[in-house]
Amino acid sequence: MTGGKLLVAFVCLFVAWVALTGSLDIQELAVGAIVAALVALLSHELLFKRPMREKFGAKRWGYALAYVPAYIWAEIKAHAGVIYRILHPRMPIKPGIVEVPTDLRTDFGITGLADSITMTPGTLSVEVQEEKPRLFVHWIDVKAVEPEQTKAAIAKPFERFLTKVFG
Amino acid sequence: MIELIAYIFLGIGGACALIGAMGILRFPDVYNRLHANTVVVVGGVIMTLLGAGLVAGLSVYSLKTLLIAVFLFLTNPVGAHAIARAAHKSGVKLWPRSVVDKLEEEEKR
Repeated sequence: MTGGKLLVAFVCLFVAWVALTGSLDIQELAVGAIVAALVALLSHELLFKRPMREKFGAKRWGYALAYVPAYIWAEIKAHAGVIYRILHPRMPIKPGIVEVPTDLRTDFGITGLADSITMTPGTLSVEVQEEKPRLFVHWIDVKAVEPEQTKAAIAKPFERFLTKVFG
Repeated sequence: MIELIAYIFLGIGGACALIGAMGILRFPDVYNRLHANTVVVVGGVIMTLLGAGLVAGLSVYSLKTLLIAVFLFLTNPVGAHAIARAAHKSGVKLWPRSVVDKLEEEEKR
């Protein structure tokens, strides 16, 4: 198990190194192998805490692909909102930290949701609680405080896909 | 055609970076400024990288810009989350006109 993790980490790091240096020179490859091995040794234990239970089948890939346009659309809307708030002379912000419960149960799913929320301007996950999974999200324009409503407004656009991909 | 799209991307990137920088100056506290920071990174840097990749065409360079964009996508939310969490844990107050702080209520409980 540990050996497998080590190998996966090494291969990923080495491939990234080769792609970033963009050369197949023997010196570059040797340095890359050494660095990748060192980093893999130090970090492979952190990579996967629990293995994914189910197989990553065609249906999950489909939902993962469908997530991309939905995510880009959410990103465009969020950018427009924050840019409007920055440029408006009176700066119409109404910030606050709200609680957002989530249906996601796996580490991958919760991480994906928290990252997606943080990557869209206007919402920023400040704290993640694992038992009774929920996020505390800093929201630049608080429209609702009740957990059910914040969930519908902040988490739903991402959760719809992430539950199907990661569970 | 591709060049035109690339220049549109670069233009959007530059505009987002400028507006985001204005946001960092205008917004009142750490948490709000991090929202402006996200505009700079996603709208500014990633659009610029994609535009530069399109100008370069299919080559080692465009592959690199794509990879850098992917790494930014993976690392930026982690960094922003870490800054916000550290700020809240060390007691940085929200802007006085903020409407609600559920996390503080939760910690007091």
